[in-house]
Amino acid sequence: MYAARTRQSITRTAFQASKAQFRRQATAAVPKAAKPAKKTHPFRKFLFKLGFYTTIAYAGATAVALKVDSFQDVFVDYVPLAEQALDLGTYISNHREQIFNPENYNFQSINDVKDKLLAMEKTASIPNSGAQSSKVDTSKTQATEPVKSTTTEPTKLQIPLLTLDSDNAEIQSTVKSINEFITSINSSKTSADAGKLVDSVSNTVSDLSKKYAELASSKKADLEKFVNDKSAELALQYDEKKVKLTEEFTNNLAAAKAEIEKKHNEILKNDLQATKEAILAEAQNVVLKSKNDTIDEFNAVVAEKVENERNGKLKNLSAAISRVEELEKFEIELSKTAATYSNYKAIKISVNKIQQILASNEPSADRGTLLSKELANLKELTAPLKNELIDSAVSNLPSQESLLRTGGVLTQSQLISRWELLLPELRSVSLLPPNAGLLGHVSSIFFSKFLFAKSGAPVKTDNNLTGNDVESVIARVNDYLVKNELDSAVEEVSGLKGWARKLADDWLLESRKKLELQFLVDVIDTELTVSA
Amino acid sequence: MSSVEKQTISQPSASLVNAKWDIVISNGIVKTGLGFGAGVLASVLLFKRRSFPVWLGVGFGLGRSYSEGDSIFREAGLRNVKA
Repeated sequence: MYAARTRQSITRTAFQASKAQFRRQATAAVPKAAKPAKKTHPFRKFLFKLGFYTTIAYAGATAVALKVDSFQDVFVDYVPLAEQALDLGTYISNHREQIFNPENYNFQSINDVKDKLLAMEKTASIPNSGAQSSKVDTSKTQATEPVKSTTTEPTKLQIPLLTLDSDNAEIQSTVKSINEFITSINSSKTSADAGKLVDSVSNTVSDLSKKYAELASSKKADLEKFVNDKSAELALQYDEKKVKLTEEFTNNLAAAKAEIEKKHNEILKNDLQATKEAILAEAQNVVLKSKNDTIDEFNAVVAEKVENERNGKLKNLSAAISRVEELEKFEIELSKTAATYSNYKAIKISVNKIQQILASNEPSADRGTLLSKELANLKELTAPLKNELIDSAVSNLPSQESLLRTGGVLTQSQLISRWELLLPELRSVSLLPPNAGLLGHVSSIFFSKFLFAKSGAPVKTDNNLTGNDVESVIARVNDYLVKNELDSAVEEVSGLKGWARKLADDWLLESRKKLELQFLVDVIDTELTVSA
Repeated sequence: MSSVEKQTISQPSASLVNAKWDIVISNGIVKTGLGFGAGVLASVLLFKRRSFPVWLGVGFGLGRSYSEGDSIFREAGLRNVKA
């Protein structure tokens, strides 16, 4: 009881203590809750710091790159947007005054820039005819020029020296004195004396020129007279020579003409003689020939008469001989056709037997032997016919060994049953994806179990859209096999694609063998009916 | 792949896929078994009989057999599959 009480009291006090504690906590928590919690935005701060330090890093790196070339290479190669930063850095460094002191920098106006550009492009225009340079005549004009130039310009003048080659001694001396004057003018500084000197020089030069002109004209007159005299003399000489030559020429011509006439007359005489003789000989030949011809005609007429007499008696005999020969020929032909007819009949029987074996539906154990025997028989019978088509068809028939090995060709029912065995394989392979792996095969096997089986022939519509999926092909092949149209069935099956076609290979082989044999035998049959 | 080719020549064409399945399944069983054995060995000897190496080994075996089966069906010729 005491323990129970103490326990009760303990629990009660504990409960009260805990209540007090809770109250304290509640009051203590309120002031904390009254102050609102401050928002810290850590993500925003992070983004800001990132942007700021990245910008500082780029700016520092461009500054270093502009100074150090090796660092610039590394910077441009490995850091994105480095080139743009470098471009910006170079722009700022080149246009420092513009950016930082805009008021002190005198910006160029557009007109100044235009003028500067135009000034750089000063060109000289060349006329269409091309640039020409005219040669300045240094001989006479230069001598007169300094006269004018000294009066207008009292500055220093340099006259070029006179160069004139001539045999006349007077002219040479004058040239020398002129050159002396010119050199003295050039060396002297005074201009007034120069003028007087130049005047005197010009006077002497004009005198000289006049004298020269006189001389030249007199010389010319002399020369002309001389030339005329000489030409008259020569003309006289030529005339004399001409007369002499013509005389000689006419004499020679006459002599030659006489000779030619003589020769020509002789030749003419000889020709006449020869032709006369030839004509005589020809006439003789003609006469002889006609004589012979008449003799031959006479002989022929006589022989003919004799023959006719003889033939009349023997005519009947030869007619009889020819008739007998014709009869012989007919008889040989008849016997040949009779033989071929009987041969044809035997071949026909053999062909029919083969067809019967092919068409029969009971698989017998010795089908192969029967078939090979019949085919050998057929080969023997058709050999003497020598028909090209039949020979080629017979040569393409399957050989004995192959027939015996495989037990002949399958019957229709055998083919159908093999097809039935093939069907589930085809169906399980019909839903394969291209380049299928393990999963593809598993899924194809599983989902093909849910396929609906199709049957019957497709409905004929205007558009020739027949399905090429495996189920439609299976349905059509079943239809054809039931109707015994093996060739259409083979065509359909050979149109399959992928795995289905690979699986149907063996069946196709067998059915093709049968079709080939059937076709060859049919060919032989029709050829016989056509040619017999 | 040489063993696969020999089989397809002697057998009829209708059982091409079945022959491949035979190889794939037998290869799978063998590889999984080998993986299981290797896993048990590793677990007993090295890993204080814990169970995870066994699962690892079985997983390896199944994976290998799946991959080889894939290459067999695709006739990729990359692997010479021997049990």
